[in-house]
Amino acid sequence: MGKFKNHIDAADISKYREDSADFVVVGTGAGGGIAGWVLTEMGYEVIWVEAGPYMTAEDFRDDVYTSMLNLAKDAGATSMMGRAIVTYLQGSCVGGSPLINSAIVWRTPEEVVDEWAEKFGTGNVINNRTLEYAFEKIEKLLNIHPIEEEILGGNNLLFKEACEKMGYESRVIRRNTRGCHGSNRCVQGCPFKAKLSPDVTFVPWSLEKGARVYSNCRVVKIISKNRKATGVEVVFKERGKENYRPVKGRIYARRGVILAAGAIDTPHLIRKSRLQGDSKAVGKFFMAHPGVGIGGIFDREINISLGPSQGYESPHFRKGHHFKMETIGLPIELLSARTPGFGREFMKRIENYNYVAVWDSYVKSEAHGQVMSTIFGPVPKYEPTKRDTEILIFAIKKMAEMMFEVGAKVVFPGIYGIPEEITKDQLNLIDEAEPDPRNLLLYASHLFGGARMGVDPRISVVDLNFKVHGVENLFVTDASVFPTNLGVNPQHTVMAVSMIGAERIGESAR
Amino acid sequence: MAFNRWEKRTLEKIVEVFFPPGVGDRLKRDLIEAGTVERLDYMISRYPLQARLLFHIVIWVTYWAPIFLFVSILPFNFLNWEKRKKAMEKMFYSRIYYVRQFANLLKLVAAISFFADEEARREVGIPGIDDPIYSKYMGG
Ligand SMILES: Cc1cc2nc3c(=O)[nH]c(=O)nc-3n(C[C@H](O)[C@H](O)[C@H](O)COP(=O)(O)OP(=O)(O)OC[C@H]3O[C@@H](n4cnc5c(N)ncnc54)[C@H](O)[C@@H]3O)c2cc1C
Ligand code: SF4
Repeated sequence: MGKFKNHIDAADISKYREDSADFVVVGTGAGGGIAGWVLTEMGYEVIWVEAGPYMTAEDFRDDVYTSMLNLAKDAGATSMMGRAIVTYLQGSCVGGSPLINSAIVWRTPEEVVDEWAEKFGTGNVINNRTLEYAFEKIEKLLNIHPIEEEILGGNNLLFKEACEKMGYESRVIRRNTRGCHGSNRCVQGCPFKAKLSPDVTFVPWSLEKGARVYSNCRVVKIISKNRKATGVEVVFKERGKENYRPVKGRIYARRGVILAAGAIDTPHLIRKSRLQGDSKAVGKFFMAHPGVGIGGIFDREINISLGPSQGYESPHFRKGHHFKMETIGLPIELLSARTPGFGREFMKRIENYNYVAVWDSYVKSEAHGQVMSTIFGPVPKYEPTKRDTEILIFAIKKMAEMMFEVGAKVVFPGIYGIPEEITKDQLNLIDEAEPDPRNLLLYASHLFGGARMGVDPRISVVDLNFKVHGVENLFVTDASVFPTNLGVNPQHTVMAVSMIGAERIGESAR
Repeated sequence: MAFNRWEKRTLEKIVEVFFPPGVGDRLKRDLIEAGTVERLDYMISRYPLQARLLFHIVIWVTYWAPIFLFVSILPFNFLNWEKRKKAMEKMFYSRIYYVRQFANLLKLVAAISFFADEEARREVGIPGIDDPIYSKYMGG
């Protein structure tokens, strides 16, 4: 029925089905993957329920088209609603977003941990000591290390050179990989099994020990009795399609249901199941890191398709200006969409693909949005503030300066109202850009909040035991519990916080 | 299938504004060889309902855009390439945010569907997974 021992592909299930375990974990991404593994290691029987398919290296293709169809939520057609449209991407497969992410690893900044403790009372659970313990453990398990210089590739090395020339702090990115070939295909799914996402680590490790995973199986409702979660109601996917068949099933949880469906689906599931309990904040305080990218054309070959998708970063402006700069080896499909022109002129630029460098920046946004539950499913409503937009425009200028410093002939700043292609002597035009988010092409892949942690149910959803306020046996261990925006790449914090959470949940269930 | 025949024809005309046949030096592939419109149609059929609905609107808006944007008195499908390009260009620079976004969206889905073709990627010099260049490093 499945690809591995204890894997059940729900696309094959043709009639009503029931199952049960100690814990049912919804989602197999950064949060759900590690939570299920911790509980399995503690001796509990665990079932994961995952909406997407279980794809492996043999199934991955070279192109973004196939990866969007097979691995992304809603085939990649996802955006947040606001005055400005911010597109976002989330994984929908066993492994979740880490299967399509760039494997960048950052520990939680201390100032964020302190803010969570001070404003949300989380200090007894999430503090520098507990995080340190979790980080150490995860870093060993997932071989987290700086990328080897020999595979960095032109785009990353150019960024390094630019930072050095500008005097900006910069470094090789630390990632959870083993044997990376620098194939610049992280968003398509790693064809070399080098990226250590949950689909090749926590999930198979646990399946070996008796855990089970249902793939192509979407949770539509949390089953409960007297404000106590007892399981989940699921539907099964039609093979190779987006739709789920009317066949239903139920998976019962003897000790708890753990939601790890990501910052958009987790609050939606709580609300849809009417299990807000005492909380007044379900779906509120949704946050993101909106980002912008710029491209530059050079005289020398950059060969962007060689090297890890994201290999170099600069935290230089992180503290003072709230943004972080990184390289990004955009695949040709996404790069062409951002390349100006039509017909021959457009083709000429695309044929210069190997002479192009692309870098990006994201802002530690101060905006709060919310996840709304509609007849179409969850819809995130979110818009960067004027301050966020000003920062992003400033970041574009800094990246453009860096590109010119290392010899760019022209740069594509991607700002409406500014020429699509600028030369070095036109840099100052960027200062004239209106700080309106509608003037930028914005995207986000780091999403948090919506079910945040805290002691006060008016402004939080889960308590310090990761349990929904006022509802028994319903827990959350994913990016939605973050009380505030992080300002750094989140997967390591998601994993560490979820590890701490799963251990607490497991201990209290004994 | 996401679109009816008229919409598919419009889509083909739109994508051709970006990827007209035979104009690249290295990129020789054309839309039809690359199966672009069929792919695009399939991709959109996999989108959730609200995104599919949006695409019908985008096609419709683009079809009439030459008239609203004072490029021609004829709709998109009846124009030559230059005029269609002009209409599309005006959409990209429109003061109306959503019209600009529609144009961006069209370019994005066109590029995703076009470069899903392996030959097209090779023609612009992107190595395949089994290219020896990627065997350079296999360490720990
Ligand atoms: C393209 C991309 C690049 C990124 N790059 C980086 C990076 O380099 N470094 C970094 O630190 N972070 C990165 N991130 C962010 C990081 O991957 C996420 O912050 C992290 O994975 C969030 O973890 P999560 O458990 O909350 O959600 P996810 O990892 O998204 O997992 C949620 C899972 O739940 C499943 N699910 C949702 N609803 C249901 C349902 N109803 N029933 C069953 N299953 C359901 C989903 O299919 C998914 O598999 C990136 C994200 C993306 C999308
Ligand atoms: S760069 Fe290529 S080999 Fe390295 S982790 Fe990403 S997909 Fe895998």
